[in-house]
Formats: sequence, structure tokens, C-alpha cells
Amino acid sequence: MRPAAKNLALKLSTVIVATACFAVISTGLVLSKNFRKMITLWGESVQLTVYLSQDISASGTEHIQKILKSSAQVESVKYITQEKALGDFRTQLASYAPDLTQDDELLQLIPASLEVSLKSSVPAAEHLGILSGLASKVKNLEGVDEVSYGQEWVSKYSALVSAFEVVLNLLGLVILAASVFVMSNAIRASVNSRKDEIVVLEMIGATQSMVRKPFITEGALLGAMSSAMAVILSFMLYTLMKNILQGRLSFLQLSEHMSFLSIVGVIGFVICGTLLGAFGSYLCVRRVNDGWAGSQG
Amino acid sequence: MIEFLHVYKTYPGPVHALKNVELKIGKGEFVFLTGPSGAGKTTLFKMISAYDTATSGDVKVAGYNLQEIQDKQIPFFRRKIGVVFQDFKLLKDRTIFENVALPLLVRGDKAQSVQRRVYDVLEQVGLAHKHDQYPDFISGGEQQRTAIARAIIHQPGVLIADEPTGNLDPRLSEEIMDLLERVCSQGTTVFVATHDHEMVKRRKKRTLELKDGAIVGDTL
Ligand SMILES: Nc1ncnc2c1ncn2[C@@H]1O[C@H](COP(=O)(O)OP(=O)(O)OP(=O)(O)O)[C@@H](O)[C@H]1O
Ligand SMILES: [Mg+2]
Repeated sequence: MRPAAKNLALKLSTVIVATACFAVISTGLVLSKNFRKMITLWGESVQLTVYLSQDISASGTEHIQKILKSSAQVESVKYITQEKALGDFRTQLASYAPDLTQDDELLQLIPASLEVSLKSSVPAAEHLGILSGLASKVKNLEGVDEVSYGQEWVSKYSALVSAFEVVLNLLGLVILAASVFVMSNAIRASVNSRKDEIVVLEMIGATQSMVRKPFITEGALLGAMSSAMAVILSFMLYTLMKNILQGRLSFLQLSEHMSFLSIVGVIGFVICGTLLGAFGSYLCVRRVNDGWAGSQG
Repeated sequence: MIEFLHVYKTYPGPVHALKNVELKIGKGEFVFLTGPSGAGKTTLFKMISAYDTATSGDVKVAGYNLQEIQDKQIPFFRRKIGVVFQDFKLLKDRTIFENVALPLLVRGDKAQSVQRRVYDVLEQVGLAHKHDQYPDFISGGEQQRTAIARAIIHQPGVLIADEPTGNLDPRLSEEIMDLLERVCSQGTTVFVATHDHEMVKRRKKRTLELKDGAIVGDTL
């Protein structure tokens, strides 16, 4: 191989390795972002519903509301009137059973309720305990018909969320460490292949920054190119996933909530990749041997 | 131009590579350095080119006191000297022209004057016609002439060459020595380490002999 061609081959393989690393990280970021989002979406439906009896007085309702609001973890207590509940019910059912929505007798069957939602700062793992505590507090009060907080579902949800968070953090840490390792190896290989050049440059009086500059520039370029290509790759992957969710798995209704990294996120990712490449090179270019090594007896 | 005062160099071990070396080489002199393998020739050249510092004593080269030089100054000192190695140390992915031009580019000369000067020097070493070749495609003698061209292009006060003919056959060795003598005649101090006693005898130049790290002979 001609010297220039050999050099190009090494650079190309370094770009490929670095791109693969960055792609894993950016895809991981997209996945984690969407997982978190879905988990919060589900979380929003986790709430306590207190169904009120037909004959409760206005002051009775207020009394129960006050008790619920006194808890520090409660974000809001929403009063759903019978009319509103029915309206919601009608719109939900309209397409399935138009006849049913005309029936005024239904009004008697659907109770008014208080919907309690927790503050977003409350960790998901604690939801179950707090909600069951609140439930037992109001369950036996006068005017309360029934209390529901989807006990089983909430407990599963809490466990799921904490497990997800632990796994995602661990996975992210492992992948990041592996990527940094692979990248620095690739850069070190590139520096080693140009050791002769460093020896010569130092011999003819190039300053330290002159020696480093081309390597740092190369590292930065490598980082920028690789991270940009990685973003493109993971965007392709993301589009593919979205198409699958929209097509065959559309009933899950997940695709409309999915999102890719934001513009700021993408720019930040490429900047981080560039800096990582430059910094990796900076660390790798140390003083090499002094050129006399070949002439030692 | 080169001055050693009571220079000792001890490597961990301890290996006493240089012992009380005293020497003085003036401007424009041509000097051979001989001695058996392990005598300390390369060690002495490392001191001269600021790749290592003496354990004790003073080393002065081209107006710099190398015992006191700061790391930041070393590149600027190196621009005042020229170094030639046994294995040429050419950059394989650059042409002869580009290799020879490096010292001028490093100090920031203008492209036009660089070009003129490189062709002058290539003419001098007889390689003008090979300027766009790559090192792997020219002979060993031509590679060493390229290395010498690179070492003298910035007109250094001192040129040191550690076994410059070690990898070359006798005819090419003579060529290289002729070239080094011509460089010297233009005012550069030339200091050459070699194993080749025959050649040293024939050339009738000042010769320093090193043995076990001490200077045991000086024909001056
Ligand atoms: N970096 C080092 N660390 C330890 N010992 C060293 C080092 N460099 C040289 N030496 C020792 O110092 C002594 C002198 O070595 P030097 O390379 O100067 O000899 P030389 O005269 O150049 O030999 P040759 O003719 O084989 O090139 C040797 O004993 C060598 O082993
Ligand atoms: Mg030697």
C-alpha cells in the first residue's frame, strides 16, 4: 500500500469504530428519553379517585377535600361533578354506543368524585405507600362511597419504574466507559502510527503545541464526524422503530408520544463528541522516544 | 561551538555512561568521534542535542547552556543545530521536497523562499531530480542525503551525525562523508560518530576517542 493509502485506511477504521461507539450512546439517549417519557405518561394516570355518595352535602365534600389537600405530597384535588363525569363518559363511548349516550338515567349511575394527583417530585417508588395511606384516611368518612387507586397496578408500576431507572443508569455507565476505552485506543493507535512524525518534528525544533496541534485537530474532526454520523444513524433507527410502532403495533398508541433528541440535544451531542475526540488526542500525544533509540548499542 | 566541562552521565543501574568528559570544538571544525560499542558516543550526542541532561558538569552548544535550558526553549535551540541519524528518520508519507522543507516550515518561513531554498539544498546534495519521490522509492544513500539536506537547510551552526553511514555500503559511505566535509567547508561545525576506523584514518581529521565513557584520545 502507498503510505497515504495506509494512513487513510487507519483513519477510516478509526472513524468507523468511533461512530459505532457514539451511535450506541446516542441511541441509548433516545431510548432512555422515550422510556422516561412513557413512564411519566403512565404515571400521570396513577391517581386516587374518591367516589362520593349521591347525598353528600357541599360542606361534606369540602371537608374531605381539605383532608386530602393537607398531605404534603398531594399536588391537586380535582372535583369532578356528576355532569362532568357523564360528559366524559359520553365522549368516550360516543363512537361505540351512540344510543347509550342519550339515556338520562345514566346520570344516576355515575357518581361525582374527587381526583387526587401527587406532586411530580414524589419518587415513583413511594406512590403506592402514599396513595394507600390517603385511601385509608378517607375511606370511612361519611359521604365516601368507594376509594380506588388501582392498588395492584400502582405497585407494579412503582417497581417497574425503579427497576428501569437502575438498569438505564447502569447500562449508560457501562456503555460510556466502554466507548471511552475503545475511542482512546483508536486514537492511541493513530498516534502510534505517527510516532516517527512526532520524533522528527521534535528534532527539527517544532514546539510542543505545533506537535500537538495536528493530532488535536484530527481528534476533534474525528469526534465531530463520528458523533454526527452516529446521530444520523440513531435517527434512522428511531424512524424505523416509529414506523413499526405506527404500523403493526399502532394499538399501543406509543408512536405519537415518541420523540428524537431535540435540536439542542443534537448540537450538544456533536459538541461533546468533538471535545471528547480533541481531549483524547491531547492525552495521547505525550513526548515519544527521542529518536536516538535506534542508535543505542 | 560545543563545550563539555567535567561532564558525568550516570544511568540508573548505575551505568556510568560518561565520566569526566572535557571537550571543546570550535566553529567550522570537522571532528570524528570513535570508540567501541557502549563507549558512550550516542549518550554524548544526546547531551549535545538536549535530549538528555548531564548528571553533573556543563554542556554548552551554539550559545546555549544546556544544563540550565528550560523545556520551552528546547525547540528554539534545536533550530540552531542539525541532527542526522543512522536510520535517516524521513517521513514516509511525504515527498523528498516536503521532508527537506520541514525545518523551514516549522520556523514559519514564507512558501516562496522555502521553495527556493529547498531546491538549492537538493541541488547541493544532488537530489533535485528526485524532489517529488517518496523515501521508500529511493536508495539508502539517497535517503541519507535527503536527511542531511533536512539537517542543513536552516544553516545550523552545528551538525551532529551518529553513525550516518552505519546502514550504507563503503562507496555510498564515502559519498556521504564527502558531502559532510562540504557542509563543514561552508562554516558549519560537523561532529560525526563512527565505527569505521579505516575511513577515519583516511580522512585525516581531528578524532576524539571514547572508551568506557571517558575520552582517551584526541588527535588535536
Ligand atoms: N537510557 C539508558 N538507560 C540506561 N543505560 C543506558 C541508556 N542509554 C545508554 N545506556 C548505557 O550507556 C552506555 C553507553 O551507551 P551508548 O549508547 O552511548 O554507547 P555507544 O557508544 O553509542 O554504542 P554503539 O556504538 O553501540 O552505538 C551503555 O553501557 C548503555 O548500555
Ligand atoms: Mg550509539
